[in-house]
Amino acid sequence: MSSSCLARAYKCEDEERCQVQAWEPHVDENAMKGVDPDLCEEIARAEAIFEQAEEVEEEDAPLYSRETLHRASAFLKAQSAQAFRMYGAFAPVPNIGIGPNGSVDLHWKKKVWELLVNIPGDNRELATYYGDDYGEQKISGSFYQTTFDYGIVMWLMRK
Amino acid sequence: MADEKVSFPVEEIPDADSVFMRAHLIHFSNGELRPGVFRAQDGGMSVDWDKYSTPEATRQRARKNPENNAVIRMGVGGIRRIESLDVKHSPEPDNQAHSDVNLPEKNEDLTKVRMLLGRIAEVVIPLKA
Repeated sequence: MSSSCLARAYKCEDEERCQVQAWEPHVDENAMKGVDPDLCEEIARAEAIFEQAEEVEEEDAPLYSRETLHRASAFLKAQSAQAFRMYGAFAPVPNIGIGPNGSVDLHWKKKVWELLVNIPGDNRELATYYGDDYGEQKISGSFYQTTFDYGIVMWLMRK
Repeated sequence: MADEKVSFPVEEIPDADSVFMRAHLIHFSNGELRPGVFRAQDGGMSVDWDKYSTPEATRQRARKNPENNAVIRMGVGGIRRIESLDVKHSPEPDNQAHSDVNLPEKNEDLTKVRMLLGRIAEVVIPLKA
């Protein structure tokens, strides 16, 4: 993916969510391939669920911010596009949920592996992740929120 | 005597015991509990020791809309086997069962233990349909 295409992936967050017309007139075929419709569905579902957050009893705590959810969505779209470019297929779609301290959780739970990525509420903090195959193989680390993590892409695309 | 509150002794919680915790419906997706439910409040993650509570009593302690909460159970020994986690009895005047699980402060460690806690949590009162 070119850097301009990457920038588009992030810019999409300020536009109509995942609508084709939101990408025009600069959209190209590769950019179109970079947006997984299933991922867009999950993002839409998360936005609706997060609206219910105000009912959770920890009302004094900042459960999440729309800006954090947008950052998480942008990260996912960028990762998905990168997976498509590297493997010719989209990465599995995670559950997007509310994490602690205003953060957003991206959670993949599969039969043979599980991965949790946490996008902090503070955009200056590093995102963190941990995953394993319920056995010996593990992956963990941290990364800047505005970058790809190739390790995560490769973990997601493992068979 | 009107304002006098009962204070309960702090006890050691055995590994063989369990703790209960509420899980708001917002922390479920596709019927599965999500790791966002594991979070610290006031320094620790609040749970109720099963020696002094029941799942229903734990659910009813929700400050808002108990019916929107499930209740999960975790074995104390299982919690203590995750990294450096521990469970400490911290009774409150109106809740002798109250206990705290110390969660790590470092985000990277917290992400790991939250995922692992999800594997030992068992739903004992499911969400109402």
